[in-house]
Amino acid sequence: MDSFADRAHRALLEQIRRGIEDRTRRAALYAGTEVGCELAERVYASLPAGQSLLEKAKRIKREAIDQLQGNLERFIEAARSAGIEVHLVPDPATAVNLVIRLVREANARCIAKTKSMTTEEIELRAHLEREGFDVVETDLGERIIQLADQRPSHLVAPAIHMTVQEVTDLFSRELGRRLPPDPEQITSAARESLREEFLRADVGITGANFAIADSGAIVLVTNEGNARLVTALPRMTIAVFGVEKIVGNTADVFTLMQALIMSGAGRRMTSYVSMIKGGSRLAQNDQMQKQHYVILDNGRMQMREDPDFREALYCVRCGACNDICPTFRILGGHVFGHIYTGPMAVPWTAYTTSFDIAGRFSELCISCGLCRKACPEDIDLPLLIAKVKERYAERHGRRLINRFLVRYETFIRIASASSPLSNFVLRRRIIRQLLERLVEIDSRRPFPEFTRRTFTRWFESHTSVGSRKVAYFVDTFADMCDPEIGKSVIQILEANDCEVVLPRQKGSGMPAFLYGDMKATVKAARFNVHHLVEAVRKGCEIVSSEPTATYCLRELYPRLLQSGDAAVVAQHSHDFFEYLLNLQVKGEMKMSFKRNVIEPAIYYPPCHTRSAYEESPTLRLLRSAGLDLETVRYNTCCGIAGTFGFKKGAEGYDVSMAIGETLFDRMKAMQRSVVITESSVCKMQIEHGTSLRVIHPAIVLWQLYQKSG
Amino acid sequence: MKSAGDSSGETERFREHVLAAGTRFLAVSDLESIKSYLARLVEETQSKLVVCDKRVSKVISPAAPSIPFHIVTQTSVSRSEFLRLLKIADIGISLADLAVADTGTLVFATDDETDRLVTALPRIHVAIVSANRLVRSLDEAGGFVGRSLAENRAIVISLISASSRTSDIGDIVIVGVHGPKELHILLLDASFSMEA
Repeated sequence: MDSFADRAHRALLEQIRRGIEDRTRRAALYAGTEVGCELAERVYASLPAGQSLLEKAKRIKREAIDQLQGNLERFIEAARSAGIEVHLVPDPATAVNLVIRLVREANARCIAKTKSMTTEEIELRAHLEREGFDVVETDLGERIIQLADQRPSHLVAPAIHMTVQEVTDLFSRELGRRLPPDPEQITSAARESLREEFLRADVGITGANFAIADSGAIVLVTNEGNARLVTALPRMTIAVFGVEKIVGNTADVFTLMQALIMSGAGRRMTSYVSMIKGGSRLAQNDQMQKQHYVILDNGRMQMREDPDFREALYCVRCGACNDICPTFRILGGHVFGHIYTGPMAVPWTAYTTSFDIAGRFSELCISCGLCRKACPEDIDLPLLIAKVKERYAERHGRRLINRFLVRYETFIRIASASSPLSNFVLRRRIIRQLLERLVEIDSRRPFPEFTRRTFTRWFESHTSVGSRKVAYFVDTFADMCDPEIGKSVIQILEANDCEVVLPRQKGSGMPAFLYGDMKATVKAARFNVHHLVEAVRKGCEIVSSEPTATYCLRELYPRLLQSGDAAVVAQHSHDFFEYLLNLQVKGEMKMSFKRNVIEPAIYYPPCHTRSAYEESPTLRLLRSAGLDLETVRYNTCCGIAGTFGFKKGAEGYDVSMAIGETLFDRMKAMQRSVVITESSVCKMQIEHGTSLRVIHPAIVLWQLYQKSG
Repeated sequence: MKSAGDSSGETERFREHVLAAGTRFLAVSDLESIKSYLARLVEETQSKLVVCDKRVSKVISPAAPSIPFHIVTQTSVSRSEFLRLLKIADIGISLADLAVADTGTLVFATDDETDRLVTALPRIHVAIVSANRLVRSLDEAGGFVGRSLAENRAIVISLISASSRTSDIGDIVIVGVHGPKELHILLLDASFSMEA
């Protein structure tokens, strides 16, 4: 890694260290983001047509970006017919200068502003203030950070990182009197003082959540009602928004706004949605309000032309990716972001500001995939982020530790082949300290046990008979660390009339993806697809007992390879328990088990299971087999993220343990002594953080079979 | 505008969503019942000043002298005086164009900011909507909104689903930020026409 990137990396590590230590800040951030996730989950669960709404929302944005050129022209024409002045600007400087000119020409002094990430992108307020204008942020969250002289730390909740006491102090200072730390009273005081600002504003500046090509109208979504006052009272309004906000028609907007509101605010509807076209008659003097639109490009059209990044334009700024992201939960948008925050900020910063800045904080993404699950537009953020990581690495090189971990499989093979000696050696304190010093693997992170008696070796002398043909993708851990998993899988399948084959295969390659090494990921993908597709052609369905591997087979490989073979493999790949569940539903699975032979346990769904299924097939199947399983109230990653949690200190281990803390506490409070989870790495993390026993569900199910005869 | 057959199911759904949002709801039959509701509300909240939007003004105006509290209509004072009173009014009464059963949403369309401010400035917003303006879904409301936006005049459409709120301070939901703290919806029987 070159010195530029190295310095940036060290600065990030320092931010991470401080962030992890700041427990007050962490508590505020965690509470806010967790509530955001839970509200969104609840509102979608309460809406039977939620899925079809999201399907529509995806289609609409894709079409809108496809037709952007035509829609832009129609929008400008419609807006101009409505008497609105429309300005297209290529970059932030032009946008800022234009707004300054408009505000000067209007003889304005006081400006009231709504929350708008586009105005943050061009740093409008700072420039206006420098020119001597009095700018007041009216969104309460934005007002708070304006008073604190900070940037927003979240896409939709700008002050989510602040405590009630901090907000109290800010407003007390601003209003010149001691307020009690009571949100009700602070809001009341803010309402009064901001009401004055609304009434004296000469100009109102807003963004736009959406813009409608048919009519030239803009759409503003709020809960507070500030957008209404900012647009109703002043004699001039200026709406600044990105060109990608334009969609075709009102019906489209009605769908998108619901997706935005449910994912972003966790409610069915926000208190207010305003659709504004043309300046209406002003209350103060019977004249028509003057309206301007400032439509910003700033890299968006370029993003549209880049097939790797185009889908970032589907973003509706709901902030759901911020709420669910495990590293964002701990560190917040001031660390995981630049102006935009969280996962979406990686591609957005890359194109609107700089690839280097985006690349620097992109390493905070641990590829758990949950952001994609939370995204109402199903943007493949993990892939976009990996591509930014890749380009950044091409420019500045890659850290030694990451290059080492990309080749994880080689080292595991060596450890396996040289076991049990390797296990003995790797448990020695001095060896772990040496490894930490030389390759930056944290000495506190226990290694799994390696075995020479690999699953592959066992399978070589194993014969399989049955009428259903199944190919098993065993992946690295089950092969070389815990072959009981694979043996259980095979025996269960054979008890259900399956004949199992083990095609030639390598590890899934996920760690390479995590570090943005697309070449290595593609290499693993090609190898596995090549051998697996042969098995499919011979009539096999593919099963995998490692959720991350299943994710690779079904999602990542086809996206990376874009080949017919990869598509075939994806179509025929199943999570092991999903495969069994399909048999069970058809009544073809051996399901008579003795009750109560397995003790009550906690089931923990790995990230890649959660992003693939609404309800985990493992949980469904084991419950229908009579197991008493409880789930934890927890909706983000356990923190280990594959090899990430092995890296030294702030590089990985400390972050992973900070993320996992909440999970560990809640699991320990559940008073059960066993945890069941499919992921090999989640198992390591939970064992390390809770000292509870963690077992793979395949092993549990095989025990059930054996105990039931 | 709609068939009588499915209205009671929709009315019930509308009412449920409205109440779930913390909004007050009452089905009323005529102008008298609106006036008595207002009288009770004024007393409960110790309000001194009530303002009306244009359409409500037209209906209320003739009755205004007989109402015991100070009610200002847009026909009774000059425009600038009305704005002055708007800024200090306790209650704003407006007539909605549409109501959406699925979400408890009211739709207002206007080309006059004074009317919009009646629904935005006072602490309490009383919205009257006729039962024959109730539609089932947001998509249907979208049709009305699309047609309104296509009209050849400046226009502002407001979708109001609850009173003003925020959770920006410590994730605690506080009601009544920049908009009204209280929203009251009076669903007016279809047989009574507000179009005076």
